[in-house]
Amino acid sequence: MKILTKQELKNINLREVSIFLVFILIFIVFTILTPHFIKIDNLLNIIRQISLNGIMAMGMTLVIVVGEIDLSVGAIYGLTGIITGMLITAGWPIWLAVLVGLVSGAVVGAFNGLLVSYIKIPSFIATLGMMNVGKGIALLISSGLPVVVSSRTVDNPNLDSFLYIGQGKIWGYIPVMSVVLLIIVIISFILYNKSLLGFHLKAVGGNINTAKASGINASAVKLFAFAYTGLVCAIAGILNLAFITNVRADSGTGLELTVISSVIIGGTSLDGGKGTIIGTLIGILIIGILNNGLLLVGISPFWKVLVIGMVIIGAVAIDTILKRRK
Amino acid sequence: MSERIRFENISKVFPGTIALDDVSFSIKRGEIHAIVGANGAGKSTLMNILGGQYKNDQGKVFIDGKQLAITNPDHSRRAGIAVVYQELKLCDNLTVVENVFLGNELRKKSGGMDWKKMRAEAAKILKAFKIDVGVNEMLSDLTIGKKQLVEIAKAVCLAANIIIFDEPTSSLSMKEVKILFDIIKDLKSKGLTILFISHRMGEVFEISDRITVLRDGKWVGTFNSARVNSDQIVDMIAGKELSAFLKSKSIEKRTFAKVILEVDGISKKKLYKNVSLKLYEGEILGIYGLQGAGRTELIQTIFGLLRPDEGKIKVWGKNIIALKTKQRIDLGIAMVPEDRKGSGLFQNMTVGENIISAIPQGVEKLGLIQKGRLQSIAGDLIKNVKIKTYGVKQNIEKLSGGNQQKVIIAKWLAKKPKVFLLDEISRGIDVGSKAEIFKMMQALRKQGMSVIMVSSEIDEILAECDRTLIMRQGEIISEFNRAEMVKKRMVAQAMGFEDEEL
Repeated sequence: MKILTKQELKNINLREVSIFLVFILIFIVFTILTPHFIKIDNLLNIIRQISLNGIMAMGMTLVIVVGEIDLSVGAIYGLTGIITGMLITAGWPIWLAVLVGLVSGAVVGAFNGLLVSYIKIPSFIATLGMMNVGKGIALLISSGLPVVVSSRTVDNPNLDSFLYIGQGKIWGYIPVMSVVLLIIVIISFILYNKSLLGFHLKAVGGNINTAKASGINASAVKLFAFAYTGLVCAIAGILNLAFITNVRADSGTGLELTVISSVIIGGTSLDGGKGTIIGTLIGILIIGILNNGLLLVGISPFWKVLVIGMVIIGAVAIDTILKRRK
Repeated sequence: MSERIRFENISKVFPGTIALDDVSFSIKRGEIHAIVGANGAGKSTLMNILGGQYKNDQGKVFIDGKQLAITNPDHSRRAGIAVVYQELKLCDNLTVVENVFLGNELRKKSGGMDWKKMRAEAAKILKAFKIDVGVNEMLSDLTIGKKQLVEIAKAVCLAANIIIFDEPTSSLSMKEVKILFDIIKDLKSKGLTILFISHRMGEVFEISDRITVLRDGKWVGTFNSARVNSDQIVDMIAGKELSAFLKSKSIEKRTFAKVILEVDGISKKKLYKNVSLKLYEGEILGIYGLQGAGRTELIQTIFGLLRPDEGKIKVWGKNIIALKTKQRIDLGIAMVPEDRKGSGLFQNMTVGENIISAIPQGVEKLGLIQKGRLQSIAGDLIKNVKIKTYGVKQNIEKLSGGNQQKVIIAKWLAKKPKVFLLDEISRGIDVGSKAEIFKMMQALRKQGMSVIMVSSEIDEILAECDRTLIMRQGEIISEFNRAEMVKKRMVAQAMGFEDEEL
């Protein structure tokens, strides 16, 4: 094994390491508290439960890195599920229905980006509006009724393969949904850490004035972050449709807060310019095992909410205190 | 008259510069005392120490013979000192009366705010000084000049007995200056002590009883205004002519043939008007003037960060006015901004990332950044520009100001610029880095690069520039060739003393 030089050690993201240690700690605590936690079925179940939020959090990380926020992720998730579901039940080829769902997610995201970087509405407000607009459209086109994709409502030989991406398990164990998460994580990791675009995301979030004075098209970079988020939210929304086969217009309500929480726990700074994909992944894992573990231990679900709140505050408080010491 | 304020051996060091160096002098009770000096002479730093914004590293401040430890603005306020800052410290979203009493609100017995009384008092003061502003007007609706008068009313309301005016006239109209001077004289007649900082020599002589000159953080002298003339004061502000060595260094007069950049009659409302200049290949052109003279805005316009209302900018004869910053960079224009932290660096990034931030195409392949290329390009530049760092992976925040500045220079050298715009490049950096940077610029000039150098340091303008334009209040008012550059005249012009005064 290669031994790290002093400088490389200094450059390791301390937050990533510390949050990983917290994850391990929580993991050990639940392993001790209940024998059910460490079982392979349960762990795979956790992995599946975090997949959809995890996919959305990848986009959110990029948006927060450029110094913005996206409150409309849950609405896009709900809207794209409804659109794809309605098109499938209307007899469209499934691939086309999925494509339209994905494109509409990206378009809504891009529209967020337009409002923020060209019309210059603060992203909190632009996406708060879009959250309602998205949910409203979903309610209108579905008339508020659930959309059901099952063999009773859909006559399409490919339906089973569609449902497989939501419900299937590879070799009977690994949820397909989690494989999608893994792919999105890898793509996002390469995009953020290795690509020029990722470099520009960090640059714009770090100092937009310097970015502009370096010839970087800051508006386009921001627009991309929002469009990418819209796209991954559509992926999550469509996976959700394939998983529960029965979606409502408001199925994404409140998800934005879980998604933002995981990004924050993962060490991404709301000031922009700093954050990691792996940190976000650990953040979403922590929320996942807390949700699952507390339930298994038999603690009231009301506690769960409180504990997650404390983890968010604790993580950021430690970070802020450490930063001040430096 | 007895002594009101005494400064004793005051020193203040900022990273890279000594802002105040062993300054001692005193201010008499009930006088109007002017403090003059060039940008960076230490006037504002001294006033900020008195106002509690900064803490002096060494020395003592005495008020009425008692030593006073001023460590925050509240101490200063309790000692009866009020500062009317150059950059207004008022809230635009509040009304006049709310601003006047902010932080000093009058309460009713019940604990509630006594707006009635506050409005009455504010109206009384505004009226006493003939300030034509309603107490209920929103501050955002007022002109800058009126805002300044509100700030003065606030200082008076605080029942201050020492009022510091930090360049109060820079944004006032003639009429407002007159109102202000009447107020100041009125305050003096009521026994208040006034400190008055200004660049305008005429005003200084009109209003002050005594004048203190600061230069490069040092006390030069304190004089009775009636016994000196502006010629003598300017001599002291500017300092001696450069040493023979500095002058001989680049006295050789070079001739230039090819125009690389031409600015033709550009104007932008409130920032600059009808600015024209020519920059020749291989030339270092200086732009000298005070802060706020429109120098930075001119440079930003050439770089494409600001759009002029009218006029043309040509590079090799081609009008580039429609081009964006990115396209201008590709044409070979580069800029080191005045505000290093605000618009020069990515502080969340490493040295290497900062260096390659303007040359993505050099290190990118299929959209991915080639780590190896990044390291070799950045590594070479770190060596060439002599940046002191552990390596490309060091975080930029850990570097000294001088080395950070070199990183920004390295970033642009990677693009092999033809026109290099430098805005206050030596600000806040150590002497060694400064010398290295200028040496580098001279070497690049010999290879045909052209430089526009904006500076408020007359000595570096004299030492480095082939030609210098003086900018004042948004206009280029004169031009000096290498052979014609005379320190005193240049300083006087930039500060706006009329020639006949000299």
